[in-house]
Amino acid sequence: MSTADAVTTSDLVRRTYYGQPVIKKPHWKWLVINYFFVAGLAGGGALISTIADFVCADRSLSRLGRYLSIAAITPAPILLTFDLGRPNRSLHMFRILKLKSPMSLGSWALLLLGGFSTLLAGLEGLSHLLGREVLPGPRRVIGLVSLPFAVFVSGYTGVLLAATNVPLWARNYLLLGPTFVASSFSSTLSVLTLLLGLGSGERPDTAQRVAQAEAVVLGAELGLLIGGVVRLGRLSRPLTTGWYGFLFWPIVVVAGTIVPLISLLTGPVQGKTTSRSRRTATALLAITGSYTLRMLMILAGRKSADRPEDYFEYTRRR
Amino acid sequence: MNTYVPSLPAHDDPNLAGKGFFTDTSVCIGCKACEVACKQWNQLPMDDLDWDATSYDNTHTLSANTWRHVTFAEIPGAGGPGAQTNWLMMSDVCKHCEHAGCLEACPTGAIMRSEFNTVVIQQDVCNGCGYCVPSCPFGVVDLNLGDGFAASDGKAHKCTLCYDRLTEGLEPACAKSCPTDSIQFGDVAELRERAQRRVDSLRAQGLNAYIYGDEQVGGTNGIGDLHAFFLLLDEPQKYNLPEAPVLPQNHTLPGILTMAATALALGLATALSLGRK
Repeated sequence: MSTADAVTTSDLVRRTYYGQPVIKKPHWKWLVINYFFVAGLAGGGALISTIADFVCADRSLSRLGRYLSIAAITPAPILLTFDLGRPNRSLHMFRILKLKSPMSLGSWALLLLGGFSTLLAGLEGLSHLLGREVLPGPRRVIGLVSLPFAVFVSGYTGVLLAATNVPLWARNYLLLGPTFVASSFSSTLSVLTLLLGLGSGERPDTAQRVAQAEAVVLGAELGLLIGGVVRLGRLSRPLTTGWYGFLFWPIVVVAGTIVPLISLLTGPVQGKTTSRSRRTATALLAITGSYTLRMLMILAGRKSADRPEDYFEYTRRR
Repeated sequence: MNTYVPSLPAHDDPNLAGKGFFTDTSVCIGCKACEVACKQWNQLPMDDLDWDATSYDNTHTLSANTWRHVTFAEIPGAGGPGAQTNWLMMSDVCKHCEHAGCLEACPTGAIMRSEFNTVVIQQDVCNGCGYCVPSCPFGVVDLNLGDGFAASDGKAHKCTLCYDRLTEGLEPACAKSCPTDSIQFGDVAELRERAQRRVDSLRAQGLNAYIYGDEQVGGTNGIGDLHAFFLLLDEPQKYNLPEAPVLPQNHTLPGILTMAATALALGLATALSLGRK
């Protein structure tokens, strides 16, 4: 063995066990990444739809939210089932309810929200077809009852990641759920902006209000993202450096959050009417940012779990 | 030495009732009899033969098919290349935690606490969601997704503390095969006392021995006592063990509360924006 080898070996042994990961990373990849994104839209769609049903004069917003929620929640169980090692046992999720396990809670919340969303989208579709409001009272009541489940589905995926030993997720456990909720709001409002723009009867005041809500949400998301990176310190490196950092800063932070925020602050928030192409571009950027955030959070978490130095720092005695 | 009494001990501290392992690394000679006995009894397939760095470690880590793993930490002596090398050898295993991250995470109830106070995965229930894998603070549980020589069954696996042998009044295969009694099986409370005597004896000889998984040393942040615990001679990191592991479910309730508070704040802001005249 050369002297150089000996030095390298001793350095590795001093810090870690031959660089061997201490914890095991989850197997989650694209199925779960896509699930995280559609869960954000399903929860966010149900949430914003219920809010709009109570406060917004333009009924089309609430209606589109219901359609978005049902469209987003439909692929969710399919993605989750195919991610299982034993897909034919997917219903084993409903053998028990475990309050400390976000995955158990999330499975039940998804099941219940699926039921509520189907019911509500059915009522909205019927109202749409018949040209009159079908059971508006019960619709609002069901909307309210579904709210906790909508909130949970929109953000529990962040809590699910935080309740592991992966340093990138666990150290940031207070802000990861909120970050996913904010990202769910922003992607949902952006998809609703796109859907409103598709119809011929778009009301400019509705678009304006959605844009204002979106500005608040994007501001919160930016704060939570930065707060998370600060909280993580050196443990954020799997996300903020290397290839993932190369995607995180320009796509998630700049193009996905800061640029749409500026676009909204300089346009609709000041009461100016902006062109449809600008609204579309702004929404597409925010959606791309939300998707990329969830993608990178999972991929960088896998990398974080593989770094023994990071885990030793996370579990250092204080 | 490991005489087994096939009944649950009555102990004042319910956390220490039940069966466990005391792994005394000071007498481990790195023979891997435990690895082999475990694989034979549990009919686990072999691993890829891939030597880790310059050590004698060919299994690298605990996995779906390796439930005992002997670590070989090479500690170069002072004086540069050619100096006497010290070895830290330890037979790693599932810790059968008092509050187990894998068990708390499992959404199907497949991971259960047995009548021996051990943590066991019911193979006919596990659906391979994989949430237990990053929830174990020690990297023990692993999904069998068909690496190496193993056919994939898509389920999570780990040490069962030889549940099948225990129900027949036998001690686990690894403890049975260990030629130096580095692996000792028995009632956890009794093992604790034995371990403390061993620590005292080694300390009297000038060695820095201590029990890993003891609340007094570093603490285990909600995990509680480890029912398979270790006598170590150097810092935990040298054995690829975390200094102060955390029960991941400590984060569930605070995470849900901050999530709900954020949703409330953003929901109100959205309502104000959408409802503006």
